[in-house]
Amino acid sequence: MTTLSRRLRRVTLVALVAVAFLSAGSVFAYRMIQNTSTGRVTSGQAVTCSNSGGFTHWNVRDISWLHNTSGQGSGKAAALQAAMQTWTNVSGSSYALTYSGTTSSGWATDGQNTLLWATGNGCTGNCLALTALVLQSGQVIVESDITFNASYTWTTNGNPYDTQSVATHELGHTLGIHHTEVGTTPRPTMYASYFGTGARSLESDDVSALQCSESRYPVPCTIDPACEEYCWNEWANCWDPGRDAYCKSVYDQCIAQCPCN
Amino acid sequence: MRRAARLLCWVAVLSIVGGLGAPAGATSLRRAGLDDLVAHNRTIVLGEVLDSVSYWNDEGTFILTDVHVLAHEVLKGEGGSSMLTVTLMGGSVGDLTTMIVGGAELVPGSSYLLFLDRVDLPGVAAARTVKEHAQGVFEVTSDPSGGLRTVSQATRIGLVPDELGRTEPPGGAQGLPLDVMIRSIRALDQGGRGAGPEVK
Repeated sequence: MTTLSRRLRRVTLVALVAVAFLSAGSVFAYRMIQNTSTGRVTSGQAVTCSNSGGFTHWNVRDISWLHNTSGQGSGKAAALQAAMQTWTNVSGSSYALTYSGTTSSGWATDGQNTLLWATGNGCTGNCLALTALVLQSGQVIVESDITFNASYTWTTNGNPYDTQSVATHELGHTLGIHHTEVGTTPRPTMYASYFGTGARSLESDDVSALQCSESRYPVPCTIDPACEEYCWNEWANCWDPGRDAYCKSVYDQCIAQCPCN
Repeated sequence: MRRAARLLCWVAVLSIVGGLGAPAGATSLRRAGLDDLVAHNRTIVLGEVLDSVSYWNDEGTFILTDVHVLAHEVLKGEGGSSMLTVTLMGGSVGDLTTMIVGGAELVPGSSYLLFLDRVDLPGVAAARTVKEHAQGVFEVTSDPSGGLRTVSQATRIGLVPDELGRTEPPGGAQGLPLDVMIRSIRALDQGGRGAGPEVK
């Protein structure tokens, strides 16, 4: 009886540990890309969203991408657009990733976000795809480029390497999201390894990563230009040397009512 | 009862093993074994990073960083000089930083085992660089017993499976004793056959 009781206790304990471990697998474990070490080359640290050092992020809502169609870039537009839409569709996020057409520019810091296929650009051999982030002070992303290694076969039909899957993953990096620590299925898009077309769609861990990023770094909206112009005219019509403060308040009230997207 | 207990134990063990198999944690790099790293890189050195300087390439299209490495031991290739310059994509100039997600990270004052080759970088033809990015850098660290170990920087980023489905870099998260790593590299460089087991 004592032996059975001990065994029961042991089994219960082991089962509890297993259950706790399995539950832990479903806990969000997304990580963000941190770069606080300016002045030296860095690959970015994986940190939590609440890390005191902050992490890389955009401060604009509209992130437009250009597509270099040379090499294997041809025929990939739909896959790239789908990958962008996947992130744009995240509930509660105001980031809009847009496909803005084709370009002949390449792997360069030129103020344009570019997706391209090449056999160079420092992405050779075992490198499938490389993402570069260009940052300004405060870890603000001002540009990103993704180069796919054209030495590998890139498909749009789900066979390895699936363009949409890898593009969705790399675009996650361009939004400041590092690899997740969730390894259980269904795997998040930001899982470190290639796992096929499953990465085309986001899991809750990926969604939470973007939502958390925007919650920590709210992106300022852009005031409707027509409305802004109307308010300027209101101010101009109002202004008189003796009414400066009053007209300023009129302008502020007007602007506050403008649509902001 | 005994069967049920055994079954529960197996479920627990499998769950834990499955969980531990989860990756720790950028860019997509296909996993390279040590044999691959040795065969496809012209120079392998054990050295210390002295300093680094970042600059815009001549065309003004990309920030690069020259890292100066004092080579303590050249395990393969160019051994003519104890000072090497390794050029990496990325770095900081003024208030602008270019970061290669999953790239090699070389910090002045730290020691590394580096797999180097010459490839074209933006604006620099045949630059000596770490073409394998994080996979081509093994950090040299002290272990509790006072020895030295080498741990791949790829353990931080996760890798795309190789043809055998392996995703762990050589040595895994624990790394390998430095002497074992050096012996393996030399054996592989000399042809490998009969010279000792390959370190995966």
